[in-house]
Amino acid sequence: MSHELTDKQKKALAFFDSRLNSKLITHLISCVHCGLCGTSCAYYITEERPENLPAHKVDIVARIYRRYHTFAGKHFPQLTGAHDLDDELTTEMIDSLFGRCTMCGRCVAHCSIGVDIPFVVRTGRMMLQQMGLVPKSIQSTVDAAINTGNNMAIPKQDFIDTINWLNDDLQFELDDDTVTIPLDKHDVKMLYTVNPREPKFFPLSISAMAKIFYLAKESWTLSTDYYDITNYAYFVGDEEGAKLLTERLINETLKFGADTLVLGECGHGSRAMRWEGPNWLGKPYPVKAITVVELIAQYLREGRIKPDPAKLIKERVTIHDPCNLVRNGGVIDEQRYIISQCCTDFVEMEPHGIDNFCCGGGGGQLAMSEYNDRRLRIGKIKADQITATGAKIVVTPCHNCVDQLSGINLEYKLGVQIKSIAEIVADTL
Amino acid sequence: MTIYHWILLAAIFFCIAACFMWFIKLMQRRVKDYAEAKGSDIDGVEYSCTKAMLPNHKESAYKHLPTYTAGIIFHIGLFTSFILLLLQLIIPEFLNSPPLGDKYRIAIKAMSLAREFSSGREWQDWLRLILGLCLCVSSCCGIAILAKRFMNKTLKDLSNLDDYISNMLVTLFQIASACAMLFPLWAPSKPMLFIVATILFLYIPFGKLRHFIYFFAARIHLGIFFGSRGVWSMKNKKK
Ligand code: SF4
Ligand code: SF4
Repeated sequence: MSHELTDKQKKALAFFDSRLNSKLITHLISCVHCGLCGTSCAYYITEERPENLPAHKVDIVARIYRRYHTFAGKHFPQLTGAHDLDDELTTEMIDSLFGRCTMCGRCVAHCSIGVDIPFVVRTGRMMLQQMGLVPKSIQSTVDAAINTGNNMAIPKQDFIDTINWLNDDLQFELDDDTVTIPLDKHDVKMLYTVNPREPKFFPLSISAMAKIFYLAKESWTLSTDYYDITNYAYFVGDEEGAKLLTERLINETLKFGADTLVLGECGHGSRAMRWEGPNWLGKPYPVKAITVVELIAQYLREGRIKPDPAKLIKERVTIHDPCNLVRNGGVIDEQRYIISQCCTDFVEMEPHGIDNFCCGGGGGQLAMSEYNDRRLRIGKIKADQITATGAKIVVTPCHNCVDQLSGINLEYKLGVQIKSIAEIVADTL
Repeated sequence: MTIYHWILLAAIFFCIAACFMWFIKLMQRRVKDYAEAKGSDIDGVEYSCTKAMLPNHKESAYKHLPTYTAGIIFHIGLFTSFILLLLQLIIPEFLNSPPLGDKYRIAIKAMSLAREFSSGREWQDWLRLILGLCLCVSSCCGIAILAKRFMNKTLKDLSNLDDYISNMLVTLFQIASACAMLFPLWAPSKPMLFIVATILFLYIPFGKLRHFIYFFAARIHLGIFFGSRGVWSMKNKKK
């Protein structure tokens, strides 16, 4: 017997119907319940609970599909495990889809069939968003980005003051009074974006990038209104919000007469802007979007910046590959090329590249304090990987990963330094 | 043609029609990707359907070798059974030479294989014996996978009735196919095969067995996704 749907549940189901394209239907139907994906997921490896299994996360959403869109599910729900969208299921959805998945996608390539598990997880998150059931902590991050222009609600003047202070510092370091970190400069080639964690907690990574731009003689600017590369609306499944944040950056690029939007060191932000954004807008971008990792690699290849052999990093270095940038964004070799130019002792983690393990902070986990324990627990896998390399420095081109790795560093007493790509490059120039 | 033939044909037609409808639905709801590609989606699909499926590329295979091997054998058994069923439908006299199981028990036959071979036994008998024994092995794999589903807590939690029914039907189909190979003169062997096959074909469109279509769709979608993003390509050294 079908239960009485509330208005919000009806809204979520109507939304679900509207999303049922070839890709989604395929991934909702294909899982054969073999259970072999468990050993690819950090949550299941850390804790062998049925609800940590990737297939379980898919099945929660697939049960709804079967209930409302298949003959067997409509008439014999017990046969296929079809389930009404009710309070019991939505509670399970919140816990599993928000609290037990970083949407890292590691399980996808290892699945027996090829089910795109995080794609289905995101669809489930979208349904929760339609019902107003997004965890408050991450929703407030989205609200801050939409209402203030950056997800940390940094007042504009504070941002300007920070940049001016960094500017003075950079002039001192380079012993050149003419060097500037340009703000709202028109007729430039590139608009550079940053993760708001940078001006707030890691400002030196901005001056590191400014140094690289300066030495590469690049024409660029930062915007004082819209500089935030992050897009947590993507993680909560708020398509309208994600589209708005995308539009802002594209419009800002055009406003300054730039033809290139440089996506700062943020994995999910880069993925959202580079790969998902054009689809939210429903058209290709009028400007080029390039990740800062690709740009720095290009500068090095073209000889526009040259590491000083005397300043090369001698300590052992390893790379943590951000899932959204690497496995889901195709930036795989560039960071390795950069490190090979700047460091003398580089060791890969095992596994690495597109097979890497998530640090545990992806999928918005860093913004959901209610799941902090789980986040740090699954970080143990990364901690063990780092320890096995014997590295003293962990480089990662993502400030969310930097944050999570710093947490892991403390929790598991690793005693390593965590650095961004720009920082490691700037140190050698 | 017996009544069993006609019912089976009707079931096959129903199954194909239902699957065709699913296929049309998939084709109608294709999505366009506006992001500028970094790699090639065609290359990605090629990779997805070849290298990416190799056992050394998937943890679901190399970390679970016994289950993976049983699954592969089970699927080979299923396809073999389908082919044999079709051949028996199209050519009723297929492999109908003097049967192997009519005079002696299989075990005794197996012991005297070499002698019979040298005495000029029909090749069809040998083929039927080999196919029948292979199908026994694949049926055992099906039973083992089913047992694992019952016994493993995580898997049990994930499973629904359809998972059990689907496995049982496919296993029964292979057992019936094995019987038809090993005991062709045993009167119920063919009707039994046709009845089980009929139930299987009627069931396919309603449960997880549809994955025989969706598996390919999933590989294609995955190939497009990873290919256009420059993650998967035939040129990739390891992954
Ligand atoms: S996307 Fe990552 S966290 Fe989510 S189920 Fe897959 S492996 Fe686990
Ligand atoms: S490996 Fe793939 S098909 Fe098997 S249970 Fe996991 S998601 Fe489903």
